[in-house]
Amino acid sequence: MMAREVFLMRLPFCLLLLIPLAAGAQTPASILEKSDRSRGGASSGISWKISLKAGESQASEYDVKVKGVNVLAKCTAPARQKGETFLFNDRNLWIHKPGLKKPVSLSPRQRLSGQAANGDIATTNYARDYEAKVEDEETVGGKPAWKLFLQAKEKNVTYDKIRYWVTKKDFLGVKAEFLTLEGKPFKLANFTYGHTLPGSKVPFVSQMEIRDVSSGETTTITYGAPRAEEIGDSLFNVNNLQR
Amino acid sequence: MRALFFIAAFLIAPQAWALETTTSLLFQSEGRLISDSKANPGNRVARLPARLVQVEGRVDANYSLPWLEIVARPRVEAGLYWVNGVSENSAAGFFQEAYLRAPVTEDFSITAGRLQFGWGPAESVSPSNWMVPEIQWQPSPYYEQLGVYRVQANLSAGQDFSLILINEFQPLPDRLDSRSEVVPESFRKRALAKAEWSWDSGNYILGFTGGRERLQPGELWRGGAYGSITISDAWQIYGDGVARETANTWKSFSVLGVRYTAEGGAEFRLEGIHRGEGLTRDQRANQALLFSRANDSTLAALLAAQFERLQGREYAYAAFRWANPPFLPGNFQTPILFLRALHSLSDHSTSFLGGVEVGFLGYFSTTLYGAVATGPTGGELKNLYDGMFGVAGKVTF
Repeated sequence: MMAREVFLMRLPFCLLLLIPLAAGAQTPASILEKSDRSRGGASSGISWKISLKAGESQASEYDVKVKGVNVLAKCTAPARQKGETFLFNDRNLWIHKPGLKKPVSLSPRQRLSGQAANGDIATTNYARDYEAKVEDEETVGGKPAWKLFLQAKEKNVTYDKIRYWVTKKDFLGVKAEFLTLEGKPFKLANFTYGHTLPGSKVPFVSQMEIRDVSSGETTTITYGAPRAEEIGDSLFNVNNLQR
Repeated sequence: MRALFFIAAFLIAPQAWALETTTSLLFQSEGRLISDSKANPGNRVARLPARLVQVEGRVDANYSLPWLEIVARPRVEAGLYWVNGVSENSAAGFFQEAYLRAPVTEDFSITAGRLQFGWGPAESVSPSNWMVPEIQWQPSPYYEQLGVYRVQANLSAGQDFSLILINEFQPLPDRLDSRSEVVPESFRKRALAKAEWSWDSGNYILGFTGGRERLQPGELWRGGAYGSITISDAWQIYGDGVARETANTWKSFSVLGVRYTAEGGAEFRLEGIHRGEGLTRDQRANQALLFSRANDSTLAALLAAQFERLQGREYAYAAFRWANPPFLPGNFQTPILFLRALHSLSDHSTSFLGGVEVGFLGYFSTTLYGAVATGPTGGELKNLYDGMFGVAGKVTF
């Protein structure tokens, strides 16, 4: 093989290696960390309401409280599920229903249940959960963005692999592909940022639209405006789910 | 009367408060194939209904102030029963739970009233919690266990430690009931302390319980422990046990189990139960003869209470549960498929429960369920029913 052909074949890989340098001082990890802020990750105590609507069905609504890696989400609608409470202790998940004798522990694998996974109700902490590398640079919705490939650091996260587009200007995760173990997309997501974090100008997510690749069904999660709140750690103690 | 007026005035005085209520209406129809066993020949002892139709109204109300939470879950039910070819009817009113909770600080609260409070990693039994029935072997997912009258103090230190002190107090009558299959258990004063630690965000949990219960003629001590280890996203192992002092000897009651969760969310459990104070096979045979010779409502009630209390020594329990299985049509909301089997290693009787629950339109859910018992005639889990089938619906506003 001619030396020139070998050089041309290797050129794209060499350019890919240069992408992190092109990101300036930003490393893939720091890009993720900054994008997490706008999706509730690593917060020191905020609350918001979310509404989750799958297809034509009635929306489920939750009051969500977040502190660090812990999330408490209480269902307020529909009537059939009112009062159900999800507790995320980092990656572990508990559910409690009014009148039941005890909270039920769900396996991390059950975070994936439902059109929108239980894990999607919770906050995002991609910087902690995933190793990231910059695959490419693309334009999404007219905005230049890094195309990141995220690989789970541990097995018990909601998704094993994610392809994630983060805008260069304001570090917003605007698009994601959730991948199967074989690397094929099984859910696609788009994000909208219509809120700001309390006391700052940092944009905060207002909508996440998830489309199931195989069924084509779409689930929309609408986020209310976040509120800063003093939240004690005891709120996330499973023994306090029922009194 | 004046005191009540002042309390009411204080509760409605202007301050931050919230009232949440949910109302449900249930309908249930069930057919049962009753065993013709030595313990219940011709269904003359237990007089169990072969068919029943029930309606039940449930209200869940929660009134909260910054310093007090009031929870009330009143229930009213009416039913038609067919016992040995004769129809009977019933009506009952009761509170499944009714309690006051005072959050003294963020980490400390006191609760008093009738409430449920459960723990333990196993699905079949929770030996370290002796304030709840030993087992809840009911096929309907809408079945509710009644709370216990107690005063309870919860102390937490962050998300990883909690200390709970519980003292049961003299109960009010369980139900205003015109007919009941189960006679309320005679009162036993019980107290319990529970400490629980968790590490690695709940991947490791360890708890200890200790306390005593006052029975005639003396007081009995109990000490228990439970724990779980989440090995991976698929596997969890767990155990729960208690040692109980009875007539100056100690008997144990324990369960060991493993949980496996498949990629699609289907969950499998296998549990082994040992009950040191249970009856051996020969003792059970003698007990069945005693039952058959009696025609006493208390004995009948004890027999019928089998769904809440085990009698033998060793059991194996298997369960399968799948929420949102992908093969059900998309307009079914939050469907749950479940199968459970309890096998007595003492007499080789087995009871299988199974069902499916689906929701529609955000306010309606329905369930089909059934049970089959197999094994030798007179086996513990075949003593009452050879099978049953039911359909239930629930509308929630």
